[in-house]
Amino acid sequence: MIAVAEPHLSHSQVSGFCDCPRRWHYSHVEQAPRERVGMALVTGTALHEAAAQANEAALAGTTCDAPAIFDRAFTSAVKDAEVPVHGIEDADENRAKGRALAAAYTPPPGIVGVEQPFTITLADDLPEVTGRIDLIRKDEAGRLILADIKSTATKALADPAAVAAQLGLYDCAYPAAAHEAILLVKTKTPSIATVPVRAWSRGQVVRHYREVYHAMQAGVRYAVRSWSCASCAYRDRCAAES
Amino acid sequence: MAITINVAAAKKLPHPTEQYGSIQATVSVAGECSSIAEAPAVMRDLFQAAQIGVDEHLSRQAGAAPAPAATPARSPAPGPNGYQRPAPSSNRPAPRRGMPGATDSQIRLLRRLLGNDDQQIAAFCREQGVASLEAADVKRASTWIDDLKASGAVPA
Repeated sequence: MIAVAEPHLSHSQVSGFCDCPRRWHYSHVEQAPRERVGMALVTGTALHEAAAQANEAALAGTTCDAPAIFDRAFTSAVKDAEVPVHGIEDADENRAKGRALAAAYTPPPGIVGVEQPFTITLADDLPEVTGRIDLIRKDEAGRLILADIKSTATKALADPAAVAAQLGLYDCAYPAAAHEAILLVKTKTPSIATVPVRAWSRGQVVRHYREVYHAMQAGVRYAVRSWSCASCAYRDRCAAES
Repeated sequence: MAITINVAAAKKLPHPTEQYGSIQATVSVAGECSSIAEAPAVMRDLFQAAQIGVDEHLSRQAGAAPAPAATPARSPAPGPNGYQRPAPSSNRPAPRRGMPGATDSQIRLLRRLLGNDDQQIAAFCREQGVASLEAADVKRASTWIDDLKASGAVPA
């Protein structure tokens, strides 16, 4: 059997392109090897894994040791990173915070789906869009609620429009009555906050994806300078080309 | 004496491309049953059929909606960065706006609650009148999970 990679879009591709078209170009077009991986990404991925397993256990009516799952995922992510981890000197502090957050996380009631994959066609002039919904749950009235789990530094959403776009996309695949972001807040005392999100309409999502896809096809690759440049996987090359 | 049941389903949704526009569909179906005891099951089936009719009609309407005038035409040739427009996938059904299909987590859990036993799963599906677990929607799968848990089933 021959596997053929169909062109596709995803929320992470589109938001990654919006964050920095040059980084997206290095990663998705050139598929250039990464120079480093950020500690925030390592911690966030491990936390995501712990929350997903806690949610899956809650759906089954059981429990799991979320801090231990975080620990394993964190260790494995650091060990298996084939490139240096930016901020490795803070590994112990991040591990402790992550464990505390995983312990503080309580799955919400009414879970019906965890890490639900989907593929949809938004419009005939766009590639298929794939994604994975962190959490689908029912409220007391039986209505569906879509949730995305974010690890953040504060109890406020850092980029509400991006989350509204993300949940708007998910709504095209799994129409729901409400949308929310579950924040795993990495403060000194870890806490969990649930923030209602007004998801974008399908029309907004399609227009945004169409514009971004047009820019991708046109080869737009300017660099966005931001606080995240320090841990960027392509920092050295980008600096050399600037 | 035959009991006649009439069921109607209606739905109105935002137009997929036109702002402030909407599309709507109403379907009415009728059926009969011979006793009151059968009525709830017949109503459920009729309502499900009506909802499917509404969703399919809305999907067709959404698929036939004209593209917005401001949308530039796209060349099928690859872009300068190698990205290529895929073939139009108009034969793919538009996502239904009704209750979505059972999630993968639900299917996994149902399988575990049924002991990961294909024969038991097949028997359960026959009993529920569905071809497979995947044929259920989120709500129905959720009810099955609750019922199986209540009957003492534990995940294998």
